[in-house]
Amino acid sequence: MRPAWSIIVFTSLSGLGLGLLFWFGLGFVAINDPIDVILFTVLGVMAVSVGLMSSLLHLGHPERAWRALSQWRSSWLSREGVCAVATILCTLIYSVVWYIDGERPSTLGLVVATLSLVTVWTTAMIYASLRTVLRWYHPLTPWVYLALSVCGGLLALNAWEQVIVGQSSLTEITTIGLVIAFAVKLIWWKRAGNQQSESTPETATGLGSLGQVDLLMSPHTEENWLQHEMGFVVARRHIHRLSQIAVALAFVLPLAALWSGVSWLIVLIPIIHFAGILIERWLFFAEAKHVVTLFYGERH
Amino acid sequence: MTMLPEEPSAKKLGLVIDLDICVGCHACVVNCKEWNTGSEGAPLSDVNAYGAQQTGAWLNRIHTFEVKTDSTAQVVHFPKSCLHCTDAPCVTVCPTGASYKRVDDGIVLVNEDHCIGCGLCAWACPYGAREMDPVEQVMKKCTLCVDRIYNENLPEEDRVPACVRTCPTGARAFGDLGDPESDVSQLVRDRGGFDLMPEQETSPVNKYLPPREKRHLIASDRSQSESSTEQQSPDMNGFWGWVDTTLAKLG
Repeated sequence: MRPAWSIIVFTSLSGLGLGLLFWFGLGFVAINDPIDVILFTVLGVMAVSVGLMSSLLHLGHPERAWRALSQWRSSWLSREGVCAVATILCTLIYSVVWYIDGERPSTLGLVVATLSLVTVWTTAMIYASLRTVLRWYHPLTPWVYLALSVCGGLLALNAWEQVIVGQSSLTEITTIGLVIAFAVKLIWWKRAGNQQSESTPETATGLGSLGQVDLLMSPHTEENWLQHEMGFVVARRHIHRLSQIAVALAFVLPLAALWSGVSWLIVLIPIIHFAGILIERWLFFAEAKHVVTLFYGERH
Repeated sequence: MTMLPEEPSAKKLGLVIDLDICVGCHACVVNCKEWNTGSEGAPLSDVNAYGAQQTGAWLNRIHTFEVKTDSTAQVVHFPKSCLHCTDAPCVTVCPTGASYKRVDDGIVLVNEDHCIGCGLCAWACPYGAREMDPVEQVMKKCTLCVDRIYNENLPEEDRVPACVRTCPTGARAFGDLGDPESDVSQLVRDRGGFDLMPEQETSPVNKYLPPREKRHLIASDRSQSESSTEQQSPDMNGFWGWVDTTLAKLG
C-alpha cells in the first residue's frame, strides 16, 4: 500500500495526542499551576487536531469531510471521526471545569480517558477490518496502535513533568510502557507478517483448476490508480534496515535516554520516539500487500 | 445508507462473463468508457492522454493471463469490472453514505455529490473495481449502466449494459442472477460458473464461465501423438475413417 504522508502523520500524531489525553483524563499529570491544565490541554488537543487535519489532506473533497460523521453504524472511518470529535469536546469541557473549579472532575476525566482509547481503537480498525490487506487484517493490529499511543503519551508526560517540576518520577512506569509497546509491535511483526495468504492469482481468476496462472499482458501500458495506490513496491529492499531504524528511534534510544538522567535528553525523548513511530507507520503501509495486485502479476 | 440491505435483494442484476469466448479485443472497455463518460455522473477523465505517463479512470479492464500445466499452456482473456457483491465490503466502509447497494436490484453505486474521495472503498474491494477519477477526485465504478437498462427512450435491444451490447463475440451476458430460472442463471449452472476469490466472502453477483477443455491441450492426447510414429488422427470414423485406415494399409 502506498504510504501517504497525510495518513502517516494523521495516525501517528493523533495517536500520540490521544495517548496524552488518556493519561490527562486519568489525572496522571503533574500540575503546578491551574494554567498548566490549559497548557496541557492545548498540547494534547493540538496534536489530535493537527493529525485530523492532516488526514483531510488525503481527501479528494475535504470540504465534504463533515459527511464522514454520518455512517458510524457501519464504517470504522466514520466512527473514528465521531469519536475524535467527541474526545476533543469532552477534553475541552473537562479542562475548563478543572481550571475554573480548581478541582479535577474525575468522572468526566474517566470519560476522556475512555474516549481517547476508543478513538485509537477505531483508527486502527479502519485498517484492521480490511480483509483485502492480510497484514493489517490481524487481531493484534488495534492492540499495536493502542500500545504505541499509550506509550507515546507516557513518554510525553514524563518529558512534561521534567519541564514543569524539574525532575521526572515516571522513569519506571515509562520503562514498562516502552517494553510492553515494543513487545506488542514485535509480536505483530512476526505474526501478522508471516501469515499465508489464502488468495492467489489462481483464486483471483478462478482458473486454478486449469493450471498455474501468470499475467501475460497487463490491461494497460501505464500504471493506473489502483497500482499507484495499492501496488507500492518502492524501497521494499530497504525495509529490513528501516525496521531497525524504527526500533532504535522508537524504543531503544528513548529507553537509554530515560535512564541517562540527563534532563534535556529526557525532554527530547518524545520527539525521538515520534520520529521512530513515523518510520514504523511508513512501514505499516509500505509492507502491506493488497490482494488486487494478484491481478497484476504479483504472487504473495 | 452504507449499511447493506437487511435482506439481500431478490433481484440480483449482474453479468456472466464467458472466458471461453472472450478474445480480448477491449471493445467492451472502450464502449464502457464512451457511454459512462457522457452519462449522469462526472465524465471519466483522462490525464495527459496523448503524452507519456497517461492516466485515467476506467470501469472495465481486460487482463490477459497464461494458464500453464506441466505440458500445456493457454491464453485466457479476463474482463474485470465491479461484481456487484451481495456482501459488498466497499459499501460498509464508506464513511459518508456515498457508496450504496440498491435494495431493488442489488446494483452498487456511488453518489458522487457525497463522495469525499477518501479511497477507502477501493482499499476494501478485492477486485480493483473502483478507480479514483484523477480530475473529479471522486470514486468511479461500474453502474451496470443503470441509465441504460431501465431507459425506455432506448430501443429494447439497447437496454443492456454498454459492454454487453458491444461485445462482438457474445462473451458477456446480462440478467437477473437472483432468479434461478433466468437465462444467465441457467448458463451459470450449465457451464459451471464460478466466483472470483470466494475466500474473501464477498458473494459476488457476477459470475465467470471457465474456458472449455481444449482437445489438443489435453496432456494425455499430446503425449500419445508425440510418442506415436504413425501420427494417427484421433476419433476418425465413417468415410474418412475408412480412407484413413485404407491409406495406412497401403503404406
